[in-house]
Amino acid sequence: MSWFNIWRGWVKLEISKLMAYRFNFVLKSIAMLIFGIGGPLIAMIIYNISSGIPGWTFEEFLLINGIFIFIAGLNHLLFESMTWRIIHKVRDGSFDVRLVKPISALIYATITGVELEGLSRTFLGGIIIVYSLVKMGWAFSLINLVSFIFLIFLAMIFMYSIDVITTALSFLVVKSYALMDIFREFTHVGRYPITIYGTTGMMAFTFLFPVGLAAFYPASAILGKIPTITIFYLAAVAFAFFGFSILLWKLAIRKYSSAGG
Amino acid sequence: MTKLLSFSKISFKEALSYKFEVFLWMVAVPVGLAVYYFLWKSIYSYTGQEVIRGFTLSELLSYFVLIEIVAYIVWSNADQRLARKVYTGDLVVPLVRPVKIYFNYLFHRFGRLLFFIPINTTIFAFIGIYFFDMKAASLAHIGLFVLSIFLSIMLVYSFVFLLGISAFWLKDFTGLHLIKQGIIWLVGGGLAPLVFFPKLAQQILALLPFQYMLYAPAQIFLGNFTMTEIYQVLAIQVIWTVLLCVFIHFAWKKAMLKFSGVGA
Repeated sequence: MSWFNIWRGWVKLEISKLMAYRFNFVLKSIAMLIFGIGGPLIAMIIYNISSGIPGWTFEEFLLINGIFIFIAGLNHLLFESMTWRIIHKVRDGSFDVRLVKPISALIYATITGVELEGLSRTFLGGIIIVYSLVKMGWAFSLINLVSFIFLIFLAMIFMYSIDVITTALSFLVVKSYALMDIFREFTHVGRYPITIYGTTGMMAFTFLFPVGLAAFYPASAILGKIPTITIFYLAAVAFAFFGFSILLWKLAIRKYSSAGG
Repeated sequence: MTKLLSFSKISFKEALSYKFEVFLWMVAVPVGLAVYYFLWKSIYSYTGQEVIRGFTLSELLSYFVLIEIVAYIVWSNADQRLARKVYTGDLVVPLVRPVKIYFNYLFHRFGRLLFFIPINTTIFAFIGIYFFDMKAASLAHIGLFVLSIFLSIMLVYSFVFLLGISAFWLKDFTGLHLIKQGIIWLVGGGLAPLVFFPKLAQQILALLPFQYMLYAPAQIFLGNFTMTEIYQVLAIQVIWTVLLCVFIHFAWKKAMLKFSGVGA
């Protein structure tokens, strides 16, 4: 069975679950919107009571927030549930079942990470992005748009790597869901322009823990604020981070003891 | 009372086994505070004002530390616990006990707090005092802050318990649980002090119970309320709690008619 078939089967299952608990799906989607709306709300508050963030207008700041919500939503939609599913399975020892399947445990976890509740947040992020671009009178530029789409792809690689690192650590720290909260807090560093963290912070959040990819760099790309060469550096960083996450997964899975309950 | 205290004792013992979880939480929360620090430092220095809507930078950061402390203390998962028992049908067990389930879960929470409050408060107080020069307006304000937190525990718990009763009618409770968390954080003062919100929003929020859950205790500590306002806040916290308890009373009666004891 190809990966795509498994993925399709999983999505079908998710849709049937959604149909069985339609009202709960609506409630969860509303909850995701409430969590998402915090970004634009804080933007409005900041620009209402102060001069805002140096170097960023209200619309640009909103754009960064919109991109962050969009990326977080897309990650929720496609991959994020693999983290809590695996943490749960490691905790009760049922991860063994995954290991005996004729497919890599990581690939299986990835393609069964779809959770449709992420749709509402992705949609909200998309609306905020379009709204802020229209509001600022963004002049169409093909090169900026292509750079933006490519950086969104890199952002997804970064978010996926975070999911892989979280699940990998669950093999080492068996008893904890708090890992998810820790990494969520760390990724939230990227929901504001990383220029606020000073030069050292910017370097760290670009090369060491590239959370700038989650919103700042895609926003800078569509606004034409970064040179093309930087995008190549960012691609190298994103793929290196991805490589690190896979390596960590491979090392950590050896520690899985199958003892749970 | 002895019966109720036994729930607290068990809960305290359970909490002891979550030491590592607590440690991980303590790593996560300062990251969020650091983000607030850099964000608002940049805003204050760019705006060129020392005070924004009555808050200096140091007071604002202290406010966020206090919100973390209060949120950690008043947080309750009674709704989830109740919902789980309803779905599994296990609710029949606490129902036959000689203690009302409302008090059963409440005292269970008190047991957890005996474990969490010393750790949580020490760490956050250290962060607040050492990094952000956090200080209470006076000793009396600390006392009123503690009283307000206690009332906030009761208010949040009653609100959460009432929501949990909806599990008797809903097939899955997780959606409502998430909405509750989002709303309390967003309009309860977790995002920013409510005085930063537009006037109309403040007037609407004053009619709802959420600002008395996180925002009001933090503002009392910082001395941003006059004594009259503080007494008003405490009275409103009590009124909302009593009102919610009345709702709980009637909703519970309806729920018991619905409950069959059958679960999965």
